[in-house]
Amino acid sequence: MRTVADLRRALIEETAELESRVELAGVRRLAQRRRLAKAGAAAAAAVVALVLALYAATGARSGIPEPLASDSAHPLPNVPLHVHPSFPSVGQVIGTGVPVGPGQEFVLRFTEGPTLVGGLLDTRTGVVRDLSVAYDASPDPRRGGGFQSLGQLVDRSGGVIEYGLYIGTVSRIVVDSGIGRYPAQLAHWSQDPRYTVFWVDHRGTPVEAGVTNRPVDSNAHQPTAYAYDRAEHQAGTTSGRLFIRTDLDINLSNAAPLGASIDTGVPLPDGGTLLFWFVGGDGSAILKAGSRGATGQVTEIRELLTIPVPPSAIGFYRGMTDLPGRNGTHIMVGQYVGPAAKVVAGAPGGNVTSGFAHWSAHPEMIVYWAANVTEYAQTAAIAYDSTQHVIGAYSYGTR
Amino acid sequence: MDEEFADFMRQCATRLHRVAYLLTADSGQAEELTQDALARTYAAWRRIRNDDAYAYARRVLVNLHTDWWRARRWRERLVAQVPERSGGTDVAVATAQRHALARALQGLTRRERAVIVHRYFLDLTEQQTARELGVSVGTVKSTASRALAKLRISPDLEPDSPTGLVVTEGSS
Repeated sequence: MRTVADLRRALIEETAELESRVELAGVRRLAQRRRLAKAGAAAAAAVVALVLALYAATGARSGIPEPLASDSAHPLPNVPLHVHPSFPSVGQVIGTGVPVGPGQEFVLRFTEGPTLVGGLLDTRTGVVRDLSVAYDASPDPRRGGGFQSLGQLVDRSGGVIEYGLYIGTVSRIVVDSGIGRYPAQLAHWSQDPRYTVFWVDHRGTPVEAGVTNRPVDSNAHQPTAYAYDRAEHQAGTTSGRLFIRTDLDINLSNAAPLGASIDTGVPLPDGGTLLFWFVGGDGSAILKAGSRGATGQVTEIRELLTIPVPPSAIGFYRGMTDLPGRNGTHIMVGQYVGPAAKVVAGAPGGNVTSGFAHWSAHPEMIVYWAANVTEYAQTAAIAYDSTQHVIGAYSYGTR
Repeated sequence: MDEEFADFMRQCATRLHRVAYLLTADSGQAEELTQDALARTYAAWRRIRNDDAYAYARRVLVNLHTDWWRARRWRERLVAQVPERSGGTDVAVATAQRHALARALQGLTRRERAVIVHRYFLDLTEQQTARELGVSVGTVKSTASRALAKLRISPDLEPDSPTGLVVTEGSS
């Protein structure tokens, strides 16, 4: 078993030979570029302020472009919103009114940074699940204002939602999907109206199908967004930039079960018994744990692990999941992928029971568990082949 | 000003680079992160030069890393690891295990790595770590606990406890 002192030594040794090659000249150049970018942004803001003043003074009779587009934010359901506690919203959550599957609506919000993140709002409970890619919404000094973040998700009814952020004055935004041109809905961030988010929901196919957020086909058509000012001059385009799929993990989480569920018979504090099942597709799967009640109803407890499908035969997965058992005990759950015929888990204590099961979809994946564990850090597991020879071992740790 | 900042860089750039490397696990990104943090520190130099400039630069670096993480994050997946073989306590084994530990660090999520780096490389308290990362103390505790478990490190062990697996062939 390793100690914290081992860890400290490893951290120091890992970096002992590293020397910074950063030079003062490079730091100065970068600082200067950042200063210029800031000055440019400030100058742009001053121009906007001047335009606003002129516009107010002339009552728009002079034909000066309107600085801000109308706001298409959709009223949110009348329930308290619950966002990720580590990423609280800055400003108001923006409702789009676009449904994504039953009982869910696509929303956009800013978090500290500012960072733009899309989410799926459960319209009944108010829980917002963040999409898997969040965007730094600070103006990119290389581009100044204009289009910043570009995301895409499927709406689960045969359509695709494109969304993103534009910084600056814009009257309208159009998204060209390759099949048609669609006017986007616009809304402004409550903290800074120069930040305009846009979205459009249209029939079409998503740009990617993989789970790694990389385009599966570099020749696949990428949507392009165009921004126009009030004088109908093109103010910006996303041409040459990618819209990134941001809903893949959330989709995976809601995917259909793969293979049979694994009933362990281990009693849980809620009166049910522990079971496991896999959901997934597209080359990945998530292992979930749940409780099966007396009536057979299943309540999900939590997601345990995301794995590639088919699983790689790498032996024991590092770490175990600690689930609450009855009477303050622990249920330790681990995974193994390989040629083992069985895996036996154990821990100190006369009441400890253990079990394992092969996943029916990929029998090389074994889920194992130890229940009634008190000294959870001493949980360990042994893998045996069909002739009862030990072919692997894993120790969660010692106390 | 430049001479003073150059002195600061000579003293601190490598320390910052090492923190950046542990946070990013990528030497190129670490270089970029260090340069960006130093550029922002340079811009604020008149204001912070008489304070703890290293702490300021480190905070900037960590915040930039957090922003990168948020800007590019997607769910990080657990990776599998070949089971360790039980080992003795000689220097070679201990060194090999420390190297394995360094490799295992790459398997942590960014947040877990950030907490580990703050707690055990920078030796910050849980409260200081929480403040630096902008998360609650509870999050620091749970994240550190999870990360240590992944690295199979017991926070309760005495520093010089022998290394090696408890499970041996034939036990159950």
